[in-house]
Amino acid sequence: MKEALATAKHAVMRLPELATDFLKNSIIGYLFEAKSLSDAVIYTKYWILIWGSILKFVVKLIFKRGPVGAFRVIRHYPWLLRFFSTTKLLRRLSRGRKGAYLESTALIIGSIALTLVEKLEEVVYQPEILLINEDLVPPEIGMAMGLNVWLVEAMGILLPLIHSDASLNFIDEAENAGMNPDACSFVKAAVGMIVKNQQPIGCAIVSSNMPCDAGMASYTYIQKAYDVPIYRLDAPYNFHGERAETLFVEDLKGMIAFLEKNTPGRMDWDKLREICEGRNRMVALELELWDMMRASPAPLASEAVWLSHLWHFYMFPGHKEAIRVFERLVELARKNIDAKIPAVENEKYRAVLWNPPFPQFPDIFNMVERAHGITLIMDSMTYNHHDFIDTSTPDTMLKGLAQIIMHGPMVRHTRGPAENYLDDIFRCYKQFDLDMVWVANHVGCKGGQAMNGILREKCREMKIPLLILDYDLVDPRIVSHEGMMRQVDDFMETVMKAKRPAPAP
Amino acid sequence: MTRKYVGGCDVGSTTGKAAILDETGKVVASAIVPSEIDPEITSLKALEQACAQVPGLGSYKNLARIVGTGYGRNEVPFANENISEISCHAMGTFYCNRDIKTIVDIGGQDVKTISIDDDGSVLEFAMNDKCAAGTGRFLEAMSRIFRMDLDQFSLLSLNAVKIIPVTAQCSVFAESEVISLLARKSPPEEVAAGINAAMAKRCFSLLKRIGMRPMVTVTGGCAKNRGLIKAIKKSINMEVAPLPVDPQIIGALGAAVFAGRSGRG
Amino acid sequence: MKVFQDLLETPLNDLVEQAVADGRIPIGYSCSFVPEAFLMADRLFPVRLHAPGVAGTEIADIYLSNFICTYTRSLLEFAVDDRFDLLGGWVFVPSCVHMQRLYDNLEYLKKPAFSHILDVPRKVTAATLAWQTEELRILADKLASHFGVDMSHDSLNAAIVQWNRFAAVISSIGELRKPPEPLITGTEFHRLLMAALVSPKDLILPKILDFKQEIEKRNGIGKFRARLMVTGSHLHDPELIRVMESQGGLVAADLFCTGSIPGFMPVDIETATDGDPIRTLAEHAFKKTLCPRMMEDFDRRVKTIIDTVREYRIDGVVIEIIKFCDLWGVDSMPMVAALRNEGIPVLKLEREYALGGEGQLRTRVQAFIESMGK
Repeated sequence: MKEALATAKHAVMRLPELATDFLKNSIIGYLFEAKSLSDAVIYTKYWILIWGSILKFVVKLIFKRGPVGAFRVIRHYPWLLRFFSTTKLLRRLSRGRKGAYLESTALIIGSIALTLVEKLEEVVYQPEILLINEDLVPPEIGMAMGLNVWLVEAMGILLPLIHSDASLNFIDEAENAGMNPDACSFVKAAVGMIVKNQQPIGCAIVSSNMPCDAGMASYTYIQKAYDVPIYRLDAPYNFHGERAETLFVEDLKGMIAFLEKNTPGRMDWDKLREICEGRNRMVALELELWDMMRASPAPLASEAVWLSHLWHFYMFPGHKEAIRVFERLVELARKNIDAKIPAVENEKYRAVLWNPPFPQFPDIFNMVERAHGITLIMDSMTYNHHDFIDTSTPDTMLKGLAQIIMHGPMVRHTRGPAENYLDDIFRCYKQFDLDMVWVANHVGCKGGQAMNGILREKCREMKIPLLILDYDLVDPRIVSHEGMMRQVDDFMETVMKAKRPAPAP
Repeated sequence: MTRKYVGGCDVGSTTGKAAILDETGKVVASAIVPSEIDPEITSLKALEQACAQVPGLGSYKNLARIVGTGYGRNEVPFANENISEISCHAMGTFYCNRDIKTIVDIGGQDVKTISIDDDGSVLEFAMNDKCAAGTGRFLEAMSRIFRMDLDQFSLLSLNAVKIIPVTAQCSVFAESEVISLLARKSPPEEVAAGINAAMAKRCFSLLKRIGMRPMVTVTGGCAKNRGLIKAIKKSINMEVAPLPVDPQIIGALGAAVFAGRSGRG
Repeated sequence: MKVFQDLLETPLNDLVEQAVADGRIPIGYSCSFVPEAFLMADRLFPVRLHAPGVAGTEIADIYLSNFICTYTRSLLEFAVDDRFDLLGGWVFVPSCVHMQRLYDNLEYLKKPAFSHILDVPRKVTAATLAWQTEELRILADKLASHFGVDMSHDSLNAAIVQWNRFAAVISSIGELRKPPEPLITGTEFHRLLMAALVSPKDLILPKILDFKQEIEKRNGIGKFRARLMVTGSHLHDPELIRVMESQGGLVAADLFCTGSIPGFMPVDIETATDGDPIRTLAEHAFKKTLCPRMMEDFDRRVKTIIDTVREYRIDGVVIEIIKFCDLWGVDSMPMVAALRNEGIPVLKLEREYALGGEGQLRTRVQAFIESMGK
């Protein structure tokens, strides 16, 4: 009784703090802070869109499954409840932004909400044609076969974006089940979700040897847990040249044959053509955006570059919504270029981020914009250099997809000689006229860690300021957000000779 | 007829423990001494102190059989046998309460979790003996920051209404974090609760690895920390079974039980 | 036994020096997917890369970081310290990301005159077997061109015959571990095998034959409480096995990629002679090497362990994993479950490349043996 009274008293005492927090993160708080009426309208529009998407999913679920069925779905996938905080993510990432840049941020988050609902509906309502893909397996093939493709690792990225602690239970679960604690937390989170039976099972699995050992090895456990047929793609180490392309195209054909044998999917080459052409359109738009990003100050930045690419290219290549997003991003960038409005008001430094961006702390880009005038121009998951897919024949399409995968981010960086990793960094640095290179030094990424020594020396030779930011991809316990910001502040003060920002009130 | 006694000696890095059983298997004496650099001296001191409590026994040389355990077990030349501390903790716990199936042993420098079978044998075990975080050393360091002894510190967190998490994974950095929290005038009882919660979480993690079955108990010196026990209960969502003897002597007790089973010369 | 111990004291031992003085060319290699017989053609001979007595990896840590397997860090440390200078060349495999980065950092820091990475696929199909064959052919051409050695079919076939002879002797010694009263301890076998991998085969074979004669005269090797099988990461230092055996657990069998189960099955010389020895060697490497880098091999590995447990009357299996190894670390999760489902007791150990924490290792092994009721 005494404890209950103490707890109640404590809750009442916290009311002012909770109210402040609510105002800070809610739309009401934003409307008070909005820099202009048009910003307020843009924000409200996407706020409504996001909530509309969420409510559409919930209402449809209750309607189609009934209240009990809906409850069962939520009980099976309790992480769905995290998405009720999507507008908080919008609030966090849009802080201090205005005009076209604000809209680009809101556009991407809104688009993620929209397409995520579509994806979740596939999981809930069509499990018999759900194909489980590892994150770098091309979804285009499954999509062209009439299958719904689910990336096991997708929630490992998305959930921590919304709440940095979202993956911790899953990580702990995987470790407790015997996974080595030093394995990449991204893989641990995916495995942990499966250990807790919170991932959809699907009719078949396609995994691969990409991008790393832990990811590849985890699929032995996953396949045993799901007990469904599995096909494994094997991207060669020596991936340059005709010989490698021939081998990998054979492998993709093997994947198609496997899926036709083990799932209801059937390859529709016309549909694949349509998807590839849609993807080509996205690439063309993205290249146009990159061209504009070379301007200084940049017209857009940060999520407009990395999150747009990460979500839409890996989850929804060729999708009409994805194309629409890139069309709009190009429009917004052009708008800012024409009006000579920078994304970051006081752009002082232009940076590239190497290795996957910080899913559990995406706010960092927003914070360094405001604190130091750093604009994130490019990142390694986005930066790639391959041709458009030749859609003339099935073979040319498969060859195009093979090239995209093998020469794409993470795969090319973990294969072939070190030049694949290093040359891309320096090429990007020059191409976008950058001032610094950041390495997202994820403690679980052994391939990245083992390149830092060489990278340091090369950057020193070329006089490129380099920040190697220690952290963990989806586990904020390893290095706290304060610890990450401290590393940035120390780097800016000591290496870039910038004034240390005043501490936040 | 001279009564026959057997002894068990647990030579740890922080303390040496001894337990003596009579021929009926009843615990008649126990002792805990601070560890010396030489494990042989530690074991001698512990045994002699225990033996002194048994009328008529005299020296440890009169014990029918001695089993050594603990990290220093190989350095006890007068032990007839040495058995791992894992098996000894399992047996010692089984001796106290046969319903206990899972043990968390939080020692001075390591943490172990042990799953016991119905006959007191070990089913599975997991150890953290490479890192001081979550061990008795960690609690000692924390209590020093609070300017308290371990007994006072153990009661402090019981008054906390809320827990202020201590997130640093390394005990050295955790010290810095705790100092910062106290400097910011965070309520000490809430910080202490955070420390215990962090330790409990580590225990929980090790427990999950071996499969936690009720009843669960805690052994080792840290079992005397009431705040820690409360945190462990919350973390594992189960009751923690108390033991009828000092939890710190469980290893020595198990060794003595093994000594008794091996024959009384 | 001392002779084998001495051969393991240095990264390039006396026999290697002797062979180099005779004009032969040592090729360092790090992965069992490189066929030893392939590197025995003409004047070449294979030397398994190892770093005995490594005391620290301070320089390697700067480049490879502290989060990389200590095997690769130890090799880099030795390389930077010029401990491998006698080697004529290096052949790596992208076994794992650690090995790949070792290669990258070695190229950057030492720029060896000859180094090559053999792109071994991660699954076995007709297409990948053809790829592997082609990869070996490319390597053969490079070796021939750089060193002026004969990598023709005849030369390779002769090397295969030599390797098969060596493998037969090792296999026959391995068989001596099977009976209830074996004639060789796990420590002795491992020491012998490791010494054989780091020495020219023809120069060490007489010593192995002498040792075999010696042990065949033994009455036994003493009593042990339990029979263990060890599997896991690359293990060079036999001391780990010795510490296990000091607690009463005889290591009667092992599943290492370097071990005799199933590692020393002969290369099919008839197929090689009639057809293409390079393709035969490629097939052989896939057949005899069980490694978690191979994506589709899990069931075969588990089955081999289970069959070995039955055949060698094993009481428990120890899986030892070098810290930071993702392949073994992640793979061990379903492996432990699969073995326990078969009623096989399993102990999982984490270790570094060099033996350390002996007290902690003893405690775990002793407790494991006790938990089996032995």
